[in-house]
Amino acid sequence: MKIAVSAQGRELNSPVNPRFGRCEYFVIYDQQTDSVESIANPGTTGAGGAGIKTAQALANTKVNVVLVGNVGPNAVETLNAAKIDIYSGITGTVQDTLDLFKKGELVKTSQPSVESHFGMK
Amino acid sequence: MIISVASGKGGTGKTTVSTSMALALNKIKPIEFLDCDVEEPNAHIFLKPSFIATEKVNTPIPLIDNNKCTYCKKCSDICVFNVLAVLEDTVLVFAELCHACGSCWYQCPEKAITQTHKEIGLIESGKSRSMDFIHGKLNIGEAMSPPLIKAVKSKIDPQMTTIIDAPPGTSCPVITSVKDTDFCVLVTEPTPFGLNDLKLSVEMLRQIGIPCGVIINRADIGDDKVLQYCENENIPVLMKIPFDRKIASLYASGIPIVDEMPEYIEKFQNTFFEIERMVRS
Repeated sequence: MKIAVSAQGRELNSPVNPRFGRCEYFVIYDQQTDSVESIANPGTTGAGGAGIKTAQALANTKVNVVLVGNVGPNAVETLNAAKIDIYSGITGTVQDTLDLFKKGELVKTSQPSVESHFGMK
Repeated sequence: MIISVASGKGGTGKTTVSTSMALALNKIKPIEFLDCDVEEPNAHIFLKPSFIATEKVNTPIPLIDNNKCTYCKKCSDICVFNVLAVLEDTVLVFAELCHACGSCWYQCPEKAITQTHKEIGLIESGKSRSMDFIHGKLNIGEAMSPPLIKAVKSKIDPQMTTIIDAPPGTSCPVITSVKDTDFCVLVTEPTPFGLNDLKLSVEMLRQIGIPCGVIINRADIGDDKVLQYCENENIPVLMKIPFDRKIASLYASGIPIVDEMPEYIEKFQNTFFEIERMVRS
């Protein structure tokens, strides 16, 4: 299982970024191989539809789970269609958040937590 | 001749000016009035037209043929508006983001994308007294107004003098409304907000090469910085409308100024003649 965390940097000790479509990077932890990779978020540029582009990039990377702060309606629709599970409630660093997820302390959601363009404010 | 009436700041008096200017001019020449503020048209409240025709306005959006699509992602790569999400075995279309540029249906290597249509609003046209009146009404929840504004503007009759009531601001809907007009009247108020947004409007008009003049509404409040700015920038001040309780109360009752304050008929006609001189010189 590949777990992506929205983050401000590329490392496990990078702070998380609560914005989904506008976060800088995703740090992706692969449980099977116990390895970490990261991707730059292609959704950060452009006026609109950031969450859609970001969700598609995660689908391309074959991510199974994404850990987020906030997520808007178009991102949720795309993630649901890509069958990527969404958990919200991230905090601290990527490692802190992965630990919380492993302990089952993050909440699974299939609904948007914010309206469109929230991450641009 | 096409004159647009715009403002950076909302609530400065665009509709007050455009409706009264149209009525004043209609006494001397045939006038066509276009309300291009399709997100919130309000000129009809003052001009009280009787509508003769209604037509729906559509905009093209992509339609994916799942039998032909190979999920190659070319369409989602080229769409700068992120309308398309191509997943393993499905393509999502977020039609509300689509600007109808056509890149996806022209460039799909499998010819799997064709056009379908989405209704975005309607155009109502009719008569207000002897004046032609046309406005657009964007459907509630619809984000994309420029295609509807373009459809309203396609009704412009070059034989007539056209007055366009533009939406507020300086973004795409305003640019679409004022584009290809001969002159833009910017309505402002002498306040820091009015001045800030006037500057944005002037810069926008200069970029697209449309001459402008300013009407200062509620001219006796605030400060003289708008006047100073116009002087420094060589922008003609076409008229000053005072902060007058009678004007406010007419507005609140949906009555154009020129109907109850006939002294404004000549003022608006003279403003038009001044604009005409500037456009022709």
